This record gives sequence, C-alpha cells and structure tokens, in this order.
Amino acid sequence: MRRLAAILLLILPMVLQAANVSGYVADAETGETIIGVNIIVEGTDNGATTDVNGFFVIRRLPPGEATLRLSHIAYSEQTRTIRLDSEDLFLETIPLEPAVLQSEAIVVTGQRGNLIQKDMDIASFEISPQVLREVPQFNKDVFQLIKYSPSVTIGDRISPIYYVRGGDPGENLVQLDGMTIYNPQHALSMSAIFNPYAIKNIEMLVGGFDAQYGGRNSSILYITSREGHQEKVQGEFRPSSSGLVGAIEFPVRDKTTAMVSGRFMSDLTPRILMGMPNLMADFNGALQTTIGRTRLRFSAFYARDYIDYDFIRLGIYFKEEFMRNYSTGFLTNTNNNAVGLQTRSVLTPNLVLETHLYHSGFQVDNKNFIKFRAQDTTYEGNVDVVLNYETRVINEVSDNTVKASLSWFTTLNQTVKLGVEHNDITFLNDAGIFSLPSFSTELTSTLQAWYLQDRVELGPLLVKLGLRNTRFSPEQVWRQEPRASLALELRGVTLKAAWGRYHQYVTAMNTQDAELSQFLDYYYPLRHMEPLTSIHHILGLEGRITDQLDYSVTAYYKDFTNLYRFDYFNTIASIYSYEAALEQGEGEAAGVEFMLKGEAGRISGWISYALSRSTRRYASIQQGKTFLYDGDQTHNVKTVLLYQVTQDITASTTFQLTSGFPKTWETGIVSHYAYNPVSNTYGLFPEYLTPVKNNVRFPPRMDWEIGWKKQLRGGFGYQLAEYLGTDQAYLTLTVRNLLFLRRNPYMYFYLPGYGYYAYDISYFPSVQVGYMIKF
Amino acid sequence: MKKAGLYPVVMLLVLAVWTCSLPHEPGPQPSTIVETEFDSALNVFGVLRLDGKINSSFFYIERTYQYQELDTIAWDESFIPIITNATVSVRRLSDAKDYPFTYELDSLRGEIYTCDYFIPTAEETYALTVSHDDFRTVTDTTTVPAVPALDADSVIVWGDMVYFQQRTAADVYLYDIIMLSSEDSLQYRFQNRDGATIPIAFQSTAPPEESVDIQVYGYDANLAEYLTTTITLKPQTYNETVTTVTGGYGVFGSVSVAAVTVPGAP
Repeated sequence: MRRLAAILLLILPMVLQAANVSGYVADAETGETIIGVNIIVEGTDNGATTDVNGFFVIRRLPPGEATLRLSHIAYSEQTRTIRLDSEDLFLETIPLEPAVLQSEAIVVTGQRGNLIQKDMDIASFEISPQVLREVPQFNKDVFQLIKYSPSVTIGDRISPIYYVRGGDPGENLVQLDGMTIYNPQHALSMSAIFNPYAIKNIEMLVGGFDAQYGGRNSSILYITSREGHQEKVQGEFRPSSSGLVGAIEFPVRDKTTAMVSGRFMSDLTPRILMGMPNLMADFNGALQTTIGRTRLRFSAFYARDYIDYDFIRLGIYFKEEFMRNYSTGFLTNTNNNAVGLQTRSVLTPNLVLETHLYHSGFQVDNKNFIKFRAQDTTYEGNVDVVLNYETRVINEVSDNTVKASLSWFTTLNQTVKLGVEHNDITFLNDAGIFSLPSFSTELTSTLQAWYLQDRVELGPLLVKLGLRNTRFSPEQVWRQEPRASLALELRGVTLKAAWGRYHQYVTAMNTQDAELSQFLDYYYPLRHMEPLTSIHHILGLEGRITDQLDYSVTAYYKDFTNLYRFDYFNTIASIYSYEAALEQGEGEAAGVEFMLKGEAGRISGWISYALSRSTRRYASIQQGKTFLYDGDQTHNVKTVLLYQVTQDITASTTFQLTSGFPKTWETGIVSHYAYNPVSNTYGLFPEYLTPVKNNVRFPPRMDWEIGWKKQLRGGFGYQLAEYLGTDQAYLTLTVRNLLFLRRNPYMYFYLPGYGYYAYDISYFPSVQVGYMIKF
Repeated sequence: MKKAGLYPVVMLLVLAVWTCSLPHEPGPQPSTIVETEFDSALNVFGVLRLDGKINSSFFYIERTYQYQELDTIAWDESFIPIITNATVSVRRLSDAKDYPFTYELDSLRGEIYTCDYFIPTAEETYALTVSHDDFRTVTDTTTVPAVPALDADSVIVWGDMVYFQQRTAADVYLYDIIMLSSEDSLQYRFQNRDGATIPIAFQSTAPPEESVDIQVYGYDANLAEYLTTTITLKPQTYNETVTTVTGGYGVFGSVSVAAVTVPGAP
C-alpha cells in the first residue's frame, strides 16, 4: 500500500502537467542573480521565490495574460506581463533595478515576503551578508559571524575549531559554490580563507539537511560567491598594518564576467618583537559565462599559512635564566586549493540539469613543541635534564569529485531532484612524537552517492522527503540515509519538524590534549568500518511579533549512534595501525534554542539563548560511563545589535555570555618514567593524575565588542578616494575585549605558594582602525 | 528611548566590574561537576634486565603527590616524593625462590633498589611485591623475553650505511635497535610483527671508521605498553594513566639484551 502511494505521488504530477513559468532574476547593473526575490502573480495567491541561483518556477498558470510582480527590499518593485498558452515558458533573465534603501535600520534577516517562511530550510541560520559588511567586529569574516549562531559553540579563544549542537568539530562541512573545502580557516584565527568581498550569500544548516547534502553529520556552511559585474570594473582595496586586501570584478565580454580577489597578511607586531615569521594569504578567482540556457562557472582558490612561533624569542627581553631554558611553540605550514567547473542548464522551463567537476586539496605539516633544559646536580656528573616534547602531524587530502543533479519542477507544486556523486579521495596521515620515527599511511577511497529529494507544497503545508544512498570503497555496502521534514504555516506561525539519518565516512583526529591549540582538523578515512552515524530529531516554531521582528524556538535531539575517538595519543601508541587507534563510542545531544531577529526603529540585529547538553560514552574512558562532552555549554546568550545613527554611520555591538566548557581537573601528580636502555637509567616526567574526565566546569565566558562604521563625505580619506576615482570611502573603528578585566580562562597553572592561576589569552582591550575604499 | 538604550550598557559595565579580576589575582575558579579524590599510592619503575650482568635489574619507587605539596618545594628543597623504605621482593614462580631488593644510592641511577646476586632467566616468570606501611601493596608479574637473535656475520657496513636483518620472537613485544659508532648514536624502535624478519638500515652522518656496536633490546608486554604510552604536558586535559601494576602506578617489566661489535667501513 505504501509503495502504491509512493508511486502515485511520483506519477500523478506527470498526468496533471500544466503550464509553468520559470526564469532568473538578476541585478540590472551587475548582472548578478538575486536570491530571495518574491514573484507574485497579480490577482492570485500563486507565486514563487528565487532560490540560491536566482531561479524561480511559478506553477499551474492558466493560459492567457498574467502579470508578475517582483519585489525585493534592496530593489525597485517591478511588474512584468506575460502571455501564456498551454506550453511552459522560460523567461530567461528578468533585470531588477537597485533601490535606495528606505529602512531606518540595517536589515539583518534578508528578504521578507509571503512565501519566504515556507521556503526556508528547517534549522538554518540565514543572515544577510550586509551584516558582515556593516559590523566591523566581524572583520567581514564568515567564521566571526557564525560564532553568533545559537547552535554554535567555540573552542578556546585562539582556535577556529567550532562545535554545532554537540557534534564533533570534524563533522562540520564547508562548501564554497558546492566544492567541499577542508579546513577553510586561517591558522590562529577565526578567519575564513575566503575573501569576504567574494561572498554573495551564506547559509548555515545546523540539522535536518536535504538529501543533496552529505558527507558530514553536524552542519553545512554553504557559501555562494559573487558572479562579477557585467558593465564596469568594480572592487575594493583595504590597506592596513597587517597586510593588503583587494578585490576586483569586471566584464570580460557579453554575458561573461570575472572576479579576482586576494589577501596577503602578515602580523607585524610578533614579526618585529619576536622575529616570528608569519604569513597568511588567500586568492579567489571566478569566471562566469552564459551560453544559451546554460550558465558555466569556473572557480578557483588558493590559500597558504606559514607561522613559526617560538616563545624563546621572547627570552631576549628577560634576564631570568628560566626564559633561556624554556621554550614552547609551533610551526604550522598549510596549503589549501580548489578548482572547479560548474554548469547549470535549463533544459526545459521545468527541468534543470546541474553538473559539477572539482578538485579540492589540503596539506598541513604541523609541529608543536615544549623544550626544557635544567641542570641536575643531585648525583655525580651534573647531567643536564633535557625535555624535548614534540608532536608532529602531517595530513593531506586530495578530493576529486564529479556530481550531477536533475531538478524537475512539476505543476503540482512538487519539485523532484535526483542526483549522483562520485568522489575519489586520497588521505595521507603521519603522526609522530618526540624524535621517534612516525608512521605514514596513504589511503585512497571512493565515495559514491545517489539521492532523491522530493519537495511538495500542499497549501500551507510543505513536505520534503529525501533518500540518500552512499557507498565508501573498498566496502561494497550501500547505506541508506532517509530524511524528512515539514513546515506547516497557520495564521502566521510556522511549525517545523525534521528527522534524518546521516553517515560520515571520515573522522578527524582530536589533538587538543597534545597541541598547544588545535587549529585544524586532521582527517582519516573510515575504511572497513561503520561510518559515523547521527540521527537528528528537530521541532521548531517560527513566527513574527511585528512586521519586522521574527522569533523562532527550536528543540533538537541528536543521537550519535556511532562515533569514533581518534585522539593523538592513541594514534601514536598504535604505531603501525591508525585503525587500531580508533575507538567506537556513542553520544547524545539535546537542546532548545530561542531567537529574536529583526528590526525595531533604527535598531536591528538578533538575540538568542540556547540551553543544551551533550554527552559521550567510550569503553576505555571510566569503564564506559557517560561523561559530559568537551564542547558542552549549558547556557549560551548571544546578541548582535546594529544602530543606524545616521545614513552614513552605523554603530554595532556584539556580546556573548556562555557557560564554560567542562574540563578535566587534575587531582595530583604521578611521575611517568622513561627508560634509556643503553645506559640502563630512567628519567621521569610529571604526569597529571586525571581519574575522572570533565569533572569541573570552567567559569562562564563573556565577550563584548563594539564597532563603528562611517562613510566619509569629506576630509583626507574622502579626497584620497576621489583621487583614486571613487567616492566611496569608509572609516571603521573596532574595540574588542571590552571586558578585559573579566578573565575567560584558557587554562590554569598551579604556581607554588600562590595557587591555581587562571590564564587568559588577552589582558587588554584591542582597538583597530580601518580604512576602505570601494570603486 | 535614549535612557532605555543605556540600561543594557550600564548593566554590562556593572557586570564587568563585579566579575573582574586583576592580572595579578588568581582569577575566577572552576565549579565542581564531580567530586574527585586524590589517590595516594606507590609509583614503581621496575626493570628485570637480562644482559649477563648482576645488578642490572633495579627498582625506583616514588609516591603520587598533590599540587599543594609543591608549595613545600618552594620553601624546602628537600621535598622529593621518593620512597626509600619500601619492602621489595621478586619471586621466581617456577621454584618460588624470593629475591629481596634493597635500597641503595647508586652514583648513576640515584635512589634505587637492587639485588646484588639476581640475574633473571629467559622465559621465566617473576612476581613483584612492593609493600609499605602507608600505602597499598603493589604487585605485578613479568615474563623475561628470550635474548634477541643477532648474528654479527649478517651485519654489513657499507660506506655510511649499516644493514642487517632482525628476526623477531613471539615473546618480545617491542624492539629498540641501537647503532653506536664514534660518529653517531642512532635508534630505531618497532613493535613485534608476528615473528617477521625486519630489515634494518642505519645511515650515519659519516662512514664509521672504527668499530660499530649494534645493540638489540627486546621488551616484554608490560614495558612495551608502558614505553609506547605518551603523556600530555597540557593541564586540564584528560589522560588515562597507564599502569601495568596492581595497587598503585608504574610498571614492572623485563628486557633482554643482545649486542655485537663489528668492524667499521672498509
């Protein structure tokens, strides 16, 4: 009976085909497609909203004349009259003229309209990119922005690692125009390796993903890049004390645009004071063209990090002998690259074919060390005791992917998407400690997937059903990942629910206990092993308090039925088999998130609160007892507020108050012995006694930052911009760590005769002044 | 409206001042989730070494200690958590013969326990008992591995390279191969691979002109596990304390030694 119903659901649309109208909507000046344009057929309830590609399909239009009304908050409203017979119609591209914004406040929620609520994905955090541009604290960086999602918790302050709803950091997927990017952040900072100028749209899915998304279990950060300018050369240039940032977009020829951007940064302060070489660079490029009904996009990017930090270089400023005999530091060397070709063809007004071929690569060679030298005068010989603790991790990923999908927009408000993917992925792993030889392994696997996603709108009800099938070689087993979600809109309130099973075939090594700070995920394939498995249950409520103020309440429960513990020390101990170092476990996460978002007068922004709990169980840890997960934060208050002081000035403030992380507090010290077989002597290192994992919670963390952005209308800054041929110059001021007297401990050191000292990263507020011109 | 907008700012400032701590102050402290007791116990490092010499086998014993005891170090340099008055006994299980190990101050190895007539026997199992009035008794057993097979004729010294093959034995769980010459001291460590023969190649910084010493150390299961365990020096991180003994901490294991000396490069 169920099968019959399913077949009917698929066949019925074919029987009842009627006229559909589809097309793209684009900016009349730049030619860039616009996301979130509402298109209503006048005199009816029928309409559509443009998707992430600026594409729309309006269904079941009767033959005859119809008037389409197109609206978007950033564009002038426009109407277009069309004449339909019984055939489907493709309208090519409808241009919209940009409008002068009338809103008193900076709009943070993107476009609002009658249809937008139904089209929004379940459990998404979608913020207008304008927020990135207007809040200088974010430094135009997507990873700074997602810190303010109620679903995200951040690791220590010097690490870009983040947790989403109790999942492991290695379960977060970042895609740039559909290309999977491995470790998309610069080392030592929450800074993405994508130039913010190049970003057109950011969407973060924190659960309940459609079947088209796979490969990671916790979150999808989907970044869409800009498409270039079809009429003139446009860009920005930002010099600063730490480097140069520039971007330029321009027309190549008719219907062909291009964009090139780059950043080259080196922090001068440590370079001068400590002689610390450091370099962070990234370059993006894109070329887009339209041939008939096919849009082609070629995109490429390259990023590079090199940091050589050695604490002993600070020793020159101190007289103490200790400073010359103690050193700690790291040497990180990363390289990230991707190149891809994407096509999107409107085969018929109802049928869209998308293909994607790309290569994504990542290489890291990361060393951490602690060196200590002391003279031992206890016994004869005055032997120097030298501790040379060094960890080294090498990880390389080479991902070659080809994927294709076919979307069919039926007349029954049903969209069926069928897709296939083939990824050849090679992983190189190497981990070592002290000066012992490390063990290197290189493994190649193939991940194959096909999926079917069905989306049906039945009046106020939106239902999405999906099935993703995956196979990870050399295993021949196909695994199913069913997904389902619905949204029901009743009297302005939308009830949302989602359920899904997710598999992930790579795991990431946890080095947080071994490295000074874990900057990166080190990936390892799960060959011949059960994949990481999560089951998401989500229930949410969304609505509006006023026309400009939205609220949402979301509850979730995640069942991690299969997890792996792949920590650095286990890996080192299993010298000849990384797989032997993998320990299977399980866990759970649950929480409730509240969010208020929108505009009120000149104030806009959002405030959120999350209550959550996340746990883990592994047989080798405390005999399999449940313990609090490292990324657990019980309470989590975040707010981002913007105040439009004048048309030219925007003031902003960001604030976070969160519970501290659970940590393991040592009860005492036990010497760990080393043995020198040649001399038949022993050595010893103090090791912490930690019988219970995560037995304390660190103090609550608090962060407060303010920003100020002003468009210059006169003075030197404006004249400089004019000299360079533009009239858009901006000055920004950012003050970070305003609560510098409120310490957010990173770790505690026991100081004899003093007690436990809470060590923080920064003890002073930081003030940054920036200047930017747009041309 | 302006006054209302000031309230959050004032509240945040009050909160900041209320919760602040100056850099010289200890700062906010963590809150307890699970009460965790300190385990006061003996920490033993015991090696039975089969190298044809007496007095090669020894024990070093400490106790665990709390951070607060480190305060003593600041004022009294004599604080060292070494145990010098324990009773240490090793029993050969095949004939139940006991060997008492007594405390001595060794010029090289410091405060250790030795037995001046004890030489372990290959493939024999020994049981350890360490007792002390103030701590739980520590016990463990070890089986001494067979002496590693090492044939001097199989060692080839060619230029700056030294080659040979090491045949592994089932009762040896970890090998350390050491090459010593006047120019270099090189080490290669590997875990047993089911009796396979492992090709070994050392590259010196210069061709060894005089003799070359090859030393092979074969460890039992206890030492193999303990010596391949790593520790973290980062505070507030969970680390399962690896111990092979019962009733305390540390390791009781055995190692067999084979050594040959071959001429340097021709």
